[in-house]
Amino acid sequence: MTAPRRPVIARVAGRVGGRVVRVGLVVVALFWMLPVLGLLVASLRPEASNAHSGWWSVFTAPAQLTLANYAGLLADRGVLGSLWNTVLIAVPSTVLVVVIGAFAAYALVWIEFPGRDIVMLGVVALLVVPVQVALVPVAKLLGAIGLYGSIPGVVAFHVAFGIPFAVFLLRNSFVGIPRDLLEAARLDGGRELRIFWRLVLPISRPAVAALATFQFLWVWNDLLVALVFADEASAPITVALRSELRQFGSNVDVLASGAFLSMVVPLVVFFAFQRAFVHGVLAGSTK
Amino acid sequence: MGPDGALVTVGPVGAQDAIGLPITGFDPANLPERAAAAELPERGGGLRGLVWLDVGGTPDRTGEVDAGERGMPGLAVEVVRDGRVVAAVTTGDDGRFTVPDLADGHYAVRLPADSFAQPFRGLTWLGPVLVTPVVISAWLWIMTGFAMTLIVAGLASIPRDTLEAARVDGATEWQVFRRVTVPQLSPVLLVVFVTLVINVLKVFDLVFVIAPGSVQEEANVLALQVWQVAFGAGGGDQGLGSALAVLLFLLVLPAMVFNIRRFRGDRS
Repeated sequence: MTAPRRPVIARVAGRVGGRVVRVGLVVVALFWMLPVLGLLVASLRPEASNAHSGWWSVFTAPAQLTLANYAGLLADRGVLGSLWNTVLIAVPSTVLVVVIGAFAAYALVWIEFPGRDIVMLGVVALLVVPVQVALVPVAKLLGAIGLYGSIPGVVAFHVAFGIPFAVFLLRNSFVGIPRDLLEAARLDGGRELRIFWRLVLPISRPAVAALATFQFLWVWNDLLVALVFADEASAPITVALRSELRQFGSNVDVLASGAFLSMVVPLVVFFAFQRAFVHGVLAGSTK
Repeated sequence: MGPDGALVTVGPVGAQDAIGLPITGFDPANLPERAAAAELPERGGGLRGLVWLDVGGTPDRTGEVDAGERGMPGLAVEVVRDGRVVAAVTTGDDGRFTVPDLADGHYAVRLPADSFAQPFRGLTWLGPVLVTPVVISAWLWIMTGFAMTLIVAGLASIPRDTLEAARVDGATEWQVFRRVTVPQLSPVLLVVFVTLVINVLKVFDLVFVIAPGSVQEEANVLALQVWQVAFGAGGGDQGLGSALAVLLFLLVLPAMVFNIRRFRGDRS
């Protein structure tokens, strides 16, 4: 049997392909990491060095590297306070969105009630609504109930805007649970809450992990919502870094180290949940 | 900072004043050996002043002479009145200078631009022409990883045997990719596409942070404009802000319809 004729180029490509592709991918990956590397290096350089040359000069003069920026940052109560504010905003936002979203998705999938389909369509429609749409009315609302410029106000906004996606993602995961399993649990006399905790949540762990990761990263990196709803005392790190940008123009030492510090936490979270994240994100969307 | 890169005092300086001119953005390691500890001069005996490197002292207060900070020797100092240079001196080893015999009046003190290396200007090179491409490339950089994560997950769910069958039938890798992989992947690609479209319509922080104030208008987007008119400096026009938000909402409507249709299609 003779092999089908293939163009010479294709044959050559096939032979060296594997290695070339691999090298190419590594090059692209390294190239994609350049900005992060630049940020890291800039955060390790003293103010004076950043003022008169770019971070790449580290290759010719590595002696300039110092941890002074981080030391300064950790001694700065303002920066630490805003980092702590970010935690105070991101953690409750994530927990509330996951809990409320999971309850809602459970009801929408496993409990019959009138108007269920309309609610679900509403959730799907709300997925695409940009936050800007709600800024003005919610600002007025929070002002009226005295939550404007406080951490609970920021959290409330994040939770409200996180719930549609949470319900959508968890619903796609819950739908995949075999009906028989649930019926059996109900026949065994399990109450809904018990079924939810003992059966549905454990099965859907990847989806829950993906949702938690997503939500946490969004809230952690958010600038716009905090800019509108947080006052100076409740401002998270993104807002604090932004104000540094405006005040001094080019104090790269504070900005770079602050940005890197605020990046470390989401990175850790992402790598911790990376596997579940990738699987959970596509739950139900590839049928 | 003057228009030509020279350093000029802001307020008027009298003929008998003593002034301090702090310099930052200079590496202390590059100071000559002879640079002596900085100390503000006493008033009197003409216009006196100190040019010192305001970096690395203890405590490192900006604009104050702190222990450990040194003067900048050999620096040209010009005294200017009504745009004309009336006197020129050079700082001593301790960074101090004295200009005696000045007539009473208001002067400005200037450190000429040629004393300084051209500073690294950071983002100021982002002019009106470049700012939009730069914002776009930053967005590409961020979202590529996101899109790739989703697509990789989609690829993993494509059955291997269809690919193998195509290869056995003699298809080239390109043909396998183009005719087998991409069609099977198209639902995922569509989801990713719609998600990215929605995401780019909402883009706020990139434009807000990257574009320097002077060229922000050139790079402005709807999502940023909403914030600017409703909450930004000099804004507070919540009516206009709401109108812009409604416009933004209309723009995402097609994506909303697409999502609802797809959701209904999935269930039937």
